[in-house]
Amino acid sequence: MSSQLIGLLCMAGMLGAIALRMPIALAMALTGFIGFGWVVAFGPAVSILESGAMDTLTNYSFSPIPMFILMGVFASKARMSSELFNGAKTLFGAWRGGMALAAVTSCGIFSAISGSSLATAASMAKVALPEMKKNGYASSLATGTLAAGGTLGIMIPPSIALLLYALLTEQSVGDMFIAGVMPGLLGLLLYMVAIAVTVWLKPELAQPGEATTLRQKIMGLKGVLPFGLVFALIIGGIYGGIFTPTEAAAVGAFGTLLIALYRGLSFQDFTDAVQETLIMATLIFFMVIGANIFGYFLSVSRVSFALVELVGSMDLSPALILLCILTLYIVLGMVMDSIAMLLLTVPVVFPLAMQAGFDPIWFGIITVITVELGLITPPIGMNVFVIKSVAEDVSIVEIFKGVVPFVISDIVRLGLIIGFPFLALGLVN
Amino acid sequence: MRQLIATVRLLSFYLNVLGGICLVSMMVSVLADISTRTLFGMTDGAVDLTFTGSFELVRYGLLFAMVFSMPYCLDRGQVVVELFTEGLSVATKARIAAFFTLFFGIFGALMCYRLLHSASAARLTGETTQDLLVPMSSIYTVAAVGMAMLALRGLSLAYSLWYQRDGDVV
Repeated sequence: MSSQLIGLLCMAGMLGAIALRMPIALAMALTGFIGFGWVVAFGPAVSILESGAMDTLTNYSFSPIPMFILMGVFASKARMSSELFNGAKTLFGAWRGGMALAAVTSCGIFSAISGSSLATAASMAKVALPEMKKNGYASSLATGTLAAGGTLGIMIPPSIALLLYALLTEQSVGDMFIAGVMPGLLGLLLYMVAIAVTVWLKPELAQPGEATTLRQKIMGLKGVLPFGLVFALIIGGIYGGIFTPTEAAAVGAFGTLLIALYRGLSFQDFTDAVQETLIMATLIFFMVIGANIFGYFLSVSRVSFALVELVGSMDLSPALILLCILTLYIVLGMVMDSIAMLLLTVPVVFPLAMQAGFDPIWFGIITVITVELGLITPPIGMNVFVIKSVAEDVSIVEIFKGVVPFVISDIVRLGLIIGFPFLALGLVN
Repeated sequence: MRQLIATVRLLSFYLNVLGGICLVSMMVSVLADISTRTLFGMTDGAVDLTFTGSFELVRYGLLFAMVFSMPYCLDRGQVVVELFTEGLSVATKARIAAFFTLFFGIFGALMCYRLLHSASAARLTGETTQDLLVPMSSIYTVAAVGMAMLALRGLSLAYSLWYQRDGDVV
C-alpha cells in the first residue's frame, strides 16, 4: 500500500474518531503515531511521541502563549471590562442601540489584551448583558452582539490564533499581529454598521439611553487608557523591534498584573488567574503536541505533497482553490473549535495555498476570519454557548438569530480582504 | 480505590501548583532579563546586572509548567466534537470519555519511559544545556515525573469515569 493511501486512510480514521468524541489532541497524536508506525516502523513511532512533545514544550517560540492568556485572565479578574463598558456607554449610550455599540466597542478594545475570543465574550457578557437587558434591549440583539463581539479577540492582536498560524507556517509573529490590526478594526467597524442597520430596520429592538455631557464622555475614556497602554507596549514593542513576542507577552502580562493589583486584585484572584491560565494553556499545548506528532506523519506519508500535485494537475484557478479551502473551513467551523481546526488543517492546506501563489500572511488572515465565523455559526458556535451560559433565560435559537447581521458583516469583511489584500498587508508592507 | 484516586488527584494538584510557580517564574525571568539589559544600556555598561540563560529559563520553564499541569488539567483541558454524539446518555458519554482518557494515561507512561531512557543516555554522555550547563539528565528526569503523574491521573480518571453514576465521579 502506498504511503499516500495510508495517509488518507489514517486521516479518514481520525475524522471518524473525532466524530465519536475522541479529544482532538488525542486523535491527532494517535493518528500520527499509528500512521508513522504503519509507513515507517513502530519503534521510531514511539520516539516521535517523545520528540513531538519535547520539541513543542521546549520551543521558545511557543512561550508567549501562556503569558498572553495570563494577561487576558488578569484583566478579567480585575473586572477591567466593567470600567471599559461604562466608558464606552458614555460615548454611545444616548443613541438608539448605543449600548450594543458600546458592548461591541468594548469587546474590540478588550481583545487588545486578550488573545481569546471565548475569554472576551465571557468577560464582556457578564458586564454588558445585564445592563442591556435592564435598558429594554431585545435578547436577540444583546446576546448576538456579545457573541459576535467576542470573535474580535481572535483577530485583534495579540491573538493566540494568529500566533499559532505564524508558528505553524514559519511566518513572523510580529508581521501576523500587525496584519491583524486593520482586519480587526474593520471587523469592529462593520459590526457597528450591522448594529446601526439592524436598529434602523427594527427600532423596537433597542432603546436610547440617557444623554451624557462632554465632560462625562472624556472621563469615560479613562477606562480605555490601561488597554491602550498595554496594547501600545505589546504591538509597539514587537513592531519597533524592541521586544520579541515572548518579551512582549511577559511585559504585557506583568503590566496587566500591576493594573489589576491597583484595582484590588486579591491573592485568591491571582491564584485563580494562574489556574485558569494553566487549564487554557494545557488545552492548547495538548493540541499542539498532537499536531506536531501528526505533522511527522504528514511528512512521511507525503499526503500534503500528493494533494498539491493533484490540485496542480487539475489546473484549478487560485480563486477556485481559495473557494474550496474557505468552504472546508466554514464546514469544519460548524463542528470544531477554532484553534483545533487551525492546528489540524493548516499543515495540510498551507502548501496548497502556497502552490496557488497566495501571500502567506494574507492567507493567514483570511483563514482566521473564516475560522472566526465558525465561532458564531450553528450548530456549535462556541461563543454562542459562552453567552448562553451567562444568559440562561435566552434560547440558543434566539442568540443565533441575533448573530445573523454579524455573520453577514463578517462575510462582507472577508470579501473586502480577498478583494483588497492591502487591508491585511498594508501595515506589514 | 476511592482513596487511591483521591491521592492521585491530590498529588497532581500539588504538581499543578508547581506548574503555576514555573509559569510565574517564566514571566519574572523574562522581565528580569529585560530590566537588567535596559539598565545596562542606560548606564552605558556601568551597571551590569545582566545574566545569561534567560532563554533557557523560559524554554524549560514552559516545559515544567505544562508537564506539571497536564495531569491535573487533564479532565478540563480537552476539546471534543459533540455534535454527532449529543443524543447519547450521560453514562455512555462518560464511558467513551473513560476509554479515551485511558490513552492519555498510556501516552504519559510511554513518555515517562522514553524520558527516563533519554535521561540515562544524557547521563552517559554528560550532556548539559548550553548556557546554564544544567545536566539534561536532570531535566529529562523531572519531566518524567510529570509524565508518570499523567499516566497515573489518566488511569485513575478513566476508572472514575467508567464507574461514574448519574454524573457523580467515583
